[in-house]
Amino acid sequence: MYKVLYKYTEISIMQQTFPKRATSCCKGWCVVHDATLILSDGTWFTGIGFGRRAPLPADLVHMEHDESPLGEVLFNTTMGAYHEILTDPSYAGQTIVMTSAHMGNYGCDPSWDETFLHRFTCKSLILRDLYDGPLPPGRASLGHLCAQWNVCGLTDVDTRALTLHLRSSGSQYGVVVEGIGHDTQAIRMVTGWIRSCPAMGERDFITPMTVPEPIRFESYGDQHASYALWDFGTKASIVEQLRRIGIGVTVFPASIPLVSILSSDARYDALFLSNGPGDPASLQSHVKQIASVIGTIPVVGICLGHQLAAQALGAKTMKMLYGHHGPNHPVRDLISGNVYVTAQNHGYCVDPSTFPPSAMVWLVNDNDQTVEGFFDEEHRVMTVQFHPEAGPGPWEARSLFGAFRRFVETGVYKILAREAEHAC
Amino acid sequence: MPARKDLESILIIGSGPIVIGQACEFDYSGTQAVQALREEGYRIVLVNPNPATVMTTPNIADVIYMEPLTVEYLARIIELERPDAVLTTMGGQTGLNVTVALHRAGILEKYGVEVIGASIASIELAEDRRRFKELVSTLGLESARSVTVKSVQEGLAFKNLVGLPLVLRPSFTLGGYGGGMVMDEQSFVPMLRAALAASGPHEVLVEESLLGWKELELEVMRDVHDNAIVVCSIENVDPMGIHTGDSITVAPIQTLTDTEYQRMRMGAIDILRAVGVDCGGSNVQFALNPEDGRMVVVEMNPRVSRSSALASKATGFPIARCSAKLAVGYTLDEVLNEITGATASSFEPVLDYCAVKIPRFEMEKFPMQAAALGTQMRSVGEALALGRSFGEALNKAIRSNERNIEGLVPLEEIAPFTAADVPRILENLHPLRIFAAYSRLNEAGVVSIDEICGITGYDRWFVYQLYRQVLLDRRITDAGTGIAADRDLLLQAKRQGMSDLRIARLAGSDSETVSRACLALDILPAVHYVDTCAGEFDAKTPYCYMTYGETDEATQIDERSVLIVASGPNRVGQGLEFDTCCTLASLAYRARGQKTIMMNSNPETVSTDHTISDRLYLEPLTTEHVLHVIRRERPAQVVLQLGGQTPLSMIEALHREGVRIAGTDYDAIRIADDRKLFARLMGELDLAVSPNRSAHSIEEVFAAAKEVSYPVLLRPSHVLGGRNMAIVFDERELTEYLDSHVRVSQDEPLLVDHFLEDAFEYDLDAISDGESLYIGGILQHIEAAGIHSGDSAAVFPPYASTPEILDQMRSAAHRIAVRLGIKGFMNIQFAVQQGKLYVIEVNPRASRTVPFISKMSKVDLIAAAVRIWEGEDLPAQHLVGHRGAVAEGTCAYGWAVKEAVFSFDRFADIDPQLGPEMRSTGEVVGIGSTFGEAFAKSQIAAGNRLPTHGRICISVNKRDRKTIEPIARQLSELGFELAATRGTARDLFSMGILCETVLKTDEGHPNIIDHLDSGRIRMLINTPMGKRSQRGDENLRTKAMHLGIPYTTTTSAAAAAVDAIRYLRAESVQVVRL
Repeated sequence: MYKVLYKYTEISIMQQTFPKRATSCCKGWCVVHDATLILSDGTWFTGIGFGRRAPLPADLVHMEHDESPLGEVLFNTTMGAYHEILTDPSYAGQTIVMTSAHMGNYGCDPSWDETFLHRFTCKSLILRDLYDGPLPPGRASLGHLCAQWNVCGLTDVDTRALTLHLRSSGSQYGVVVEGIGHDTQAIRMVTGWIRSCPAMGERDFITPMTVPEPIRFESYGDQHASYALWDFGTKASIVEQLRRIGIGVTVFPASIPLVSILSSDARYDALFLSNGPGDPASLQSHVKQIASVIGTIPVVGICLGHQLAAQALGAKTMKMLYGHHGPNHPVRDLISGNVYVTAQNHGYCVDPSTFPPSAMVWLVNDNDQTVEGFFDEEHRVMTVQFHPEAGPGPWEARSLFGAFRRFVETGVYKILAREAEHAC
Repeated sequence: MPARKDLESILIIGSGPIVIGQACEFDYSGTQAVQALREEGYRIVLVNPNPATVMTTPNIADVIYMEPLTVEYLARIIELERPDAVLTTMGGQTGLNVTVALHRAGILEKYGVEVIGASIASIELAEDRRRFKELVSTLGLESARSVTVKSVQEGLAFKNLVGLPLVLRPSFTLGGYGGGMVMDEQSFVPMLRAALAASGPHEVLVEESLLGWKELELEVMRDVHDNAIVVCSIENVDPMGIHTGDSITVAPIQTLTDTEYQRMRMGAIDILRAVGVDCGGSNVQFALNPEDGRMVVVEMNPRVSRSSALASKATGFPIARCSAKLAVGYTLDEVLNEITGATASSFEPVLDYCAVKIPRFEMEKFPMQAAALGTQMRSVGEALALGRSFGEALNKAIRSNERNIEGLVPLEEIAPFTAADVPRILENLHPLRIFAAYSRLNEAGVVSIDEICGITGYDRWFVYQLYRQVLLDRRITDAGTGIAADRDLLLQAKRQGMSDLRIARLAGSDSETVSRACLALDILPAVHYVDTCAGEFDAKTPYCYMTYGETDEATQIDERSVLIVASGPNRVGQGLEFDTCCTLASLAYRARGQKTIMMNSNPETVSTDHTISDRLYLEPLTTEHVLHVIRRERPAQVVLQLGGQTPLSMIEALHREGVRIAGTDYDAIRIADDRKLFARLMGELDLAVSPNRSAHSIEEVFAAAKEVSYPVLLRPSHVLGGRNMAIVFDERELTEYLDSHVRVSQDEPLLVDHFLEDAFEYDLDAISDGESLYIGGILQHIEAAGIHSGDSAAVFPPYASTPEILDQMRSAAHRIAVRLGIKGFMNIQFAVQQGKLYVIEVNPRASRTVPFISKMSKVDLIAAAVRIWEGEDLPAQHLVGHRGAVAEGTCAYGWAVKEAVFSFDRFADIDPQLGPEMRSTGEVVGIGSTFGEAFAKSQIAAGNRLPTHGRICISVNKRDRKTIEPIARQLSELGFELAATRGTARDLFSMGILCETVLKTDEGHPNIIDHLDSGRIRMLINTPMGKRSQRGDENLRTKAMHLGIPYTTTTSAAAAAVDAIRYLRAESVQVVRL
């Protein structure tokens, strides 16, 4: 179901194509043009478009929001790892601002894909500098990848000003359009159009991001257990990490009712709730289904899965101002006192005051004290908010997969002995 | 965990004098550590004999000793101070080595001193390459294939197995000293032999070559709870094969995939855990084969290092400070990140800019062959620049290096290279290789990218960044003077970090036109904060850099602020001393409630610690950048007197712009700087100067030399540290000099002075308010005139002088200060020849001896100067009795001797001769209640071991035969055997002193050099014999220096040595608590 669609593009110098940018550009994949990111609050940032051609402001009115490059604009502080981020289904419907100075430096490789679907994930990618020079043999360029995945790229943007703006005013919708800003009337028209878009929570991102059919992955080496993974847009590296510790995984579409998954002939040792895009509070039918099976089977989960499990136990989620998106979030284990440096990507979190007494919040973010993980021995639930599968890294929290496995096996939490993870 | 309560007092050992491979980064880290631990209430005992440091400034530590870093002296200090613990990680390799030595001598155990920071076991594990490699393999990581050999035979066996090239790394040496890469069969055995000799335990690691692999470094910190973070990742643009200290580097890593980077990150943390570093930082180096991704662990240093200082400045994360806190029991998450104020220290920094470091080489002073770079560090300093892109940071870093290169330019635009040199430089490990790569790209275009990658081992990403510059440069050239109206192109050039001058040169314009065009088109730099978090949090940071075309984040800090322009990258002649002056001035201003702005480009220094000033700009120290900072901040005044020649050279441009300069007026500085005006002034003041002329052509040089009479001292104007200076004794030598070194033109005059042979030199450091004068102290040089003042041992107070001549100096200094209207610092160099006083030069700025004199006289000259600049005259400061008076400081500790320290051992193939051109890299002090004690200690601290027995050879000129008599007699009485050259031996015999006669170098064999070689002579007393024997004397000196045999060139220095030997014979170890 997954084909390699990239090919190595020879660079050719087309400096004259776009004299403002004194670099080459790769023929074929990259349409360069002046383009502007317009935010719903009317702020705009100019740059150079690449990848999917941005629509003209006038074209927007004829476009469905879902088909346009409209996205919720957020910033990510990872220094590299653009391929993994771009292909992470959790970013569906979003526009990612990479804060790091250079992107695309070492090219792209399909083996780094985080999605099982060859389908769009994020809407736009906003960069300070896109690398468009020669790459190691066999690698495709980031511009090429954006073109292929229908992502509107925008480079040469003052990403720092944009980041500071998002930091203070919060994540919001924005759209990349062709042409340069300054035209206040056009900007007013575009922001009006942006505001006509339903809120993130009212839109469905799960349907396009979940697998169309169940897929079975056997574990590497001896299989100790088999999990059912309910897919809201799972990252490939979650499945990969489970397989590495001896767990076979069947990935089920989110549209298949939980009851039929768990009552099938195949016996699953645990239900794994995947990460995914969108507002967790909008997925109430899924929450209800989870609530109905809790207690009958151990439930583990990551990110959106964590938020759904918490809701199933009666907790509430809330939107964060600009969320956590980066490679360097310290997570404290309140039991052992250890701090993990973790990769994170979420714009919502669970309100800690709403947990039932049986739930134990055991991981918190050391910067803002938000909930990063809890377990509930009574209901046999253990989930984390951040990304221990680490695609991209850091890898040190990968040891939590061992904790998941032990929790599923024993039903009780055991203090983790920190173990070095060399898995790749 | 809170700070440990069971410790009260902690010993911190500094790194001693600045040498190549161990520079002022350890003053930065040590000072940070001292401050961090004193905050916790510990009593800090500090030992460092380097008088130029900030850390040895009074009140930085609780107790300060400036004693030699040897087991004897440290044992004595431990016995007196009884510290509970010693922090091992702040004093570089010297600090680690001496701690291990104290441990082995049983001193630490005897006095119950606990080792904190890195344990002895982890130090030994990280240093022992064989055990370290075993450990690496148990972690599932790889090391380069290698073998530790103790003999040439073992080395040959491995070579036959693995093949060439091979790398030699001697155990326990600094910065790779004695090692190198063997490329061909012939050099294998000699190089291995040299490497074995360089290693203390006679042990060398012979290793497979990783030449051309990517070289990467991680700065990791780990705490007692096993929490670990990577503070900074650094990628070397120059691949494996060039010492990382000599490589151009960029942070963060640019060309690794996430998997490659994360594998390295986990590997580094695993190594710290396995080595047992559980309360501090370490540097772990990796190599990555770009062909197959094979990753190899190169080494780890369980201490702060040059790289950690660089990482601190690149990210804004204070590694040394945090390491110190971890060492006393805190955990990473408890040590709040001071920069953001919002995150915990266990938050790994992320950058939204590039930080590019470029090493500074002294190619003129330490000439190198084309392929000079290797595994042994050779650069003397470094500059760091930040930019929003690699290209911007690279261009800024090149300018920050202050080599008069305007950024990325073709090699042929750098004198003396031509286009014909491009292939040769490109193919060799040369400091200017990146410029040769640019030339090649400029000439051959995009198709040459692969070729350049193949030759240099640069990643294609880096080469492509150079190519972007080529394309931009072409567009600027094409635009010509029209660029002044092309806002897009001009903005793009500025965003690429290009200087106005470089843009002007390409466009065929001049820099003022470009500057004006930028102003007219509203192209002005924007200030960005270095916040460690890429903008994620609202950082409360005082650390900034400038970039173009982006939103400005900062506002003017204060209307009454003071801008201090510091001294840029370390170089010979302008080093740590000047940075210390800038740092202390900032602290003095702030103590008065004044806000300070520091501007510097040197990542090793204390001044670029963002806690030293209210705002720090890490920017190139060029007029363009300084003016931009001034325009934005509109400081009340700008301090240029403290950073050496770098800031002072901008005074004219700043004066023209109407900038208010602190202290002495531009006009006075111009007089001191201009030969004619200066000579006229000296005439008016009735002060003698050595006859001198300025020559603007070769013919004029010869005429001038004849007029002032030989010997003559030659030097190009406007130099610091005496570059290209020489003394010539006749016309023939003058011809040689002119042929080899120097351009003489209308714009670049050559200064010709009569050289005062056999004179004594003095340094006088003073401050003035324009009426009164406070002399910090007068230093007398032990070496004869003709050796640069920075290279000569100097004594405070003068040890062989007369009250009359000192009075003449005081009076001369006062008259000069009043006449010039000096407000602030003044340094005068005097020479005394046969009782007559000459003024050699007047520097209207702080000199390199200011920190030394301040410490030894216990009067803070820098704080006093700050008070003058703030309008408080010397009588108000109670430094002089009344207006117009003169007062003088005295040495508070009896005697203090400042001795120069050299790094010649890194350049085996060059002549270590001393002369008018400064070549020392650092200095130490010896303090004692007698002159002999002070001199002896300065020699020990500098690594010169005076003999206490054996044979001493004397060879002195006729004038000195009388004065040598008592010295020879004393040496004989002390039990030394004496040898002398024929004339000296005869005269000594006639005075009743018996000695063996040895031949001079031109008298056949075995001569004096043969005797030195055979180890029969333990010390040499050799005064200059006049011009004819000059060359022979130099050979002797070279030989003695290479063999580590003490050598004196004056009878006064010989007398000093006798005093010192007497102290050494007594075997008493006295230490002075400052």
